[in-house]
Amino acid sequence: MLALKIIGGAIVGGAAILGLISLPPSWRKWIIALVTFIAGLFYFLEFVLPESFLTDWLQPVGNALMVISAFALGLGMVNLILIHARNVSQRKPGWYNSLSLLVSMAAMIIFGFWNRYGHSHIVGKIYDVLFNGMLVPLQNTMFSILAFYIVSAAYRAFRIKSLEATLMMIAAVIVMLGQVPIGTWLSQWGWWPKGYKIPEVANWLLTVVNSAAVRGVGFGIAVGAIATSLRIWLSLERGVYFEQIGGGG
Amino acid sequence: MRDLLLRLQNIDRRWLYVTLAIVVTLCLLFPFNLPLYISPQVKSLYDAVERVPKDKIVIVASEWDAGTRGENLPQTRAIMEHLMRRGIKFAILSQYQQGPRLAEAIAEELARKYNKKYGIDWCNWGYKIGGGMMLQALSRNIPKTIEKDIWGTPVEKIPMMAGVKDIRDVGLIVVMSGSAVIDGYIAFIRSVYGTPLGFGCTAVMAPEQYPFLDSGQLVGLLAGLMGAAQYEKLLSSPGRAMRAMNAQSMAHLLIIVLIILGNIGYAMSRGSKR
Repeated sequence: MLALKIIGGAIVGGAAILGLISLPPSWRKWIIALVTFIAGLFYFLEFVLPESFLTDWLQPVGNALMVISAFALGLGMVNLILIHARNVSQRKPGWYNSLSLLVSMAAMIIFGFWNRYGHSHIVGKIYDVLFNGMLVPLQNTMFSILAFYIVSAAYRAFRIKSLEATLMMIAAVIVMLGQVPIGTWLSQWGWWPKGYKIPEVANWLLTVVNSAAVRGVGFGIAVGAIATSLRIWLSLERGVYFEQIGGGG
Repeated sequence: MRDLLLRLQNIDRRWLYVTLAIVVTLCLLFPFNLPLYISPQVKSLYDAVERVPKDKIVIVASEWDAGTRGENLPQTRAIMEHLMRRGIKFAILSQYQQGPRLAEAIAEELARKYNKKYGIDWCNWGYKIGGGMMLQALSRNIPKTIEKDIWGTPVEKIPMMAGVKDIRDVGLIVVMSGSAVIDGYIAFIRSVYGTPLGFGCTAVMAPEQYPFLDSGQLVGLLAGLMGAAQYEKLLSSPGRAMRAMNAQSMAHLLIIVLIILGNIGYAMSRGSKR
């Protein structure tokens, strides 16, 4: 039953995409703008109004959104496969990287589904090696490399070139010490006034000085986000896509 | 001597990398004890977990993947351990593909320690997409939004989900993430329904979260590995976060020493130009 639903959904979705592509660009533009406006209006009204008939539609609309997101994911995957398959077939420089991407992607997809629906012990082990033995350590390594760059960047960036740079450096050193046990350990030595130990000063810098700055930045971002959202909702944001299909605007 | 001091402002980055690797490795291989300060934000989250009524569930939002595992895993583990110790039922939720599986492994490990059972003491709602819209729908109707758990069991058939209808049945949400996913929880759940919300984030994200603590939109904050270590200390259950704090301490100290050396070299070069 589930398989039928998935196949049916894929056919209907695919037909809708094909139908949209075959329409004249100006029609397509208006359909996209209309759907965007109705979707935005729905969520806006549902959020600001007390519980109404719109609330009952929250779940089905949410499901539709998830399906559309899944299509976007599929579209991204198709694009990725096309680009890298071309790199491999034409033996472009670094084609072996593209090949490794395609093989890894295929392995994760095949064994992921097989493990989920096949219930085989061996497949489970293979998937475990792929996920816990390869994917997780690789991602960990990628993020861990940041530590080395941070050390190098901090060493080069924090130079006492001006009063502002000096203040910044002092604050950074206090926070760096206050955020780790060594700061607490150093505070045990000598006489520190109550409330002025390194971790306490670091916490004050973060909760008072830093918060004030973050709040200011936050207000600016929020106003910008409202303006951008309005432009997208009302289809005033003419990006590359609309310019290509609608001949500008 | 003067030349040597001048060269301090331009140490080859490869030496920096090697030094950092040696310092971190030695600290992990030869552990030692350093005192740990408990920040008010961590204590506040601990107290919030202590206050959760036993008849309500907690949502553990595992919004992270392997990239931020070093920081988010010990945080998730500490929160889950506290919940299991108190006997509070919890559900794992994630908008990251890897999140449910990574959190499930932690819950299974702790369940063996505390003799807890899946479906009775905790469950896994799995990977959900839809961002803010999904959270809005979840607040109004949990069973309809989640439908099935990660193993395909309908939510209504999970024993611990009996009587759980909407966000009013949730006593606390704790989000662990390395991204700005918390904004959705604040906007669509905390601000609308007042459900207490805690956050465990990576250390680089922490400075952006402090205003939410001030405003009361977050009940507590675990900032990076240090936050997890502080929570482990509160639980009196030293884990990987507390073990790793020495390495982080020495890495921070190394950065400070390098900054001082760089500035000595810089001061010397300015002196020679005059």
